[in-house]
Amino acid sequence: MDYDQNFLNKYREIIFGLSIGFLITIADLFLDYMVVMQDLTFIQFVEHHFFNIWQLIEHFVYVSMGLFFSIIWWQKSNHYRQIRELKNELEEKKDFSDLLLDIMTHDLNNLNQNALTRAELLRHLLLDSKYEKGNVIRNFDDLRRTVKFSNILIKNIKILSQLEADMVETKNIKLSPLFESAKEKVQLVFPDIPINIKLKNDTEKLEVEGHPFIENVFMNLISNSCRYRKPGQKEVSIEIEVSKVKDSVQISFIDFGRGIEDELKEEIFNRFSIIKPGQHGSGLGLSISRRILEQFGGKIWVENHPDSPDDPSAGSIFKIFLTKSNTVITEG
Amino acid sequence: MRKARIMIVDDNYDLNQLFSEFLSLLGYEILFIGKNGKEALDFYKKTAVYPDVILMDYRMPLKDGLITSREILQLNSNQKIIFVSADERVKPEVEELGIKQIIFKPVDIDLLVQNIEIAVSSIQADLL
Repeated sequence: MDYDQNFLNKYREIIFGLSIGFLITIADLFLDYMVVMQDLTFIQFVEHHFFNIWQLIEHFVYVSMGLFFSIIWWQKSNHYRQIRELKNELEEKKDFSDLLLDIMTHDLNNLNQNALTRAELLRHLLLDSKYEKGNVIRNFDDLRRTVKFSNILIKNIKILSQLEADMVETKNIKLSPLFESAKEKVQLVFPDIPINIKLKNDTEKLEVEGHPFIENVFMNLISNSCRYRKPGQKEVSIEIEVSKVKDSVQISFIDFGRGIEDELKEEIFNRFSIIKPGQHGSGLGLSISRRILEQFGGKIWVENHPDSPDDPSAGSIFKIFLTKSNTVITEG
Repeated sequence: MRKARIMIVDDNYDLNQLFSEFLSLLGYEILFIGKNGKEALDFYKKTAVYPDVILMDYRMPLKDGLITSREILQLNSNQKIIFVSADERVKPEVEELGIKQIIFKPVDIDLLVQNIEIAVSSIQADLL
């Protein structure tokens, strides 16, 4: 059906021209029929028109002229169509380069700001002879963490470029090791905050169709749980629940952090819209996560903690859904 | 003489904490920290004591720094606002609001403090 529609759309000018040629021929036949029919029988009329070389040439000329002009028209339209497609492609590339520029000027600058102010604060603290060693160490750790965030941001930009250039091949990947390695990598960024991950199901043999980039999604979620933990929270606990819905997989990350207000629940994924005037988002991690998952036909969204569904401040549950068409589950 | 009361509005959580810690160390009173323009406005409408100076970011969810500043200036046209943004393209729109102090991230704390002090002196000059 799609093919038929595409075909009709692609050659609409030729079809239109041919139809006009045929219509002129039919009109000619009809007029002849009305005028000549009084003197000829129907059989004679048919013989006159269809077994007469001059009449056939006349009909052929009508159809050919329709075809000729329609081909010229089609070529012209095709040319404009190609220009339009190229223009759209260029605009998409420009949007992408604007986005990269925006990430550089906004996100990286913000991280630089954090690092700079942290370094200045350290200097200020150290110049005070009565400085507290613990406070200085905490600030050094935060400075190191900021540089690591900057590094993660640069990696995210690289992933984004690869996704944009369609350089990502889908493969079967095991979920379990990805949870573990994501946690280990985030733990390096937050060495002073123990991260406890509790897998609520046995995911040892569970495979999905995707890409190791999915690890980056898990890292973003675990890292957010650490960054937005409740004030005074000394460790971060995350429960991961994997459920199979028909032939698809739903992965839930449940944390007990500060939670996300209802009006921000969709906004936090919308970083890609910031280059359009009037719309702003913050951070890149969750929007990259959504982009990565969408590449494999997946989805991500956030809800309140399942134990307190009406209280956004009680923590969050991030749900990832990998759709049936892109998911292969190998049962153990 | 009392140090200025500061309100910080930025969606960068780490920076909010950092500015707050540093400015407190320098003796300023941190009146309120807002993560977005909406929070800042809600506070501003309810507070009995206005901040002397507001450090305002541009890009924030729910309500950006420009809209927030415009609404704050409608409530109190004498409010001193220092725009602290990573995006230099916003400068003409900020100036259109009548805000003269715009600094771009990354900014040295010395420059930030210098700007706060300029804002505070201009309040004192207005009072004379």
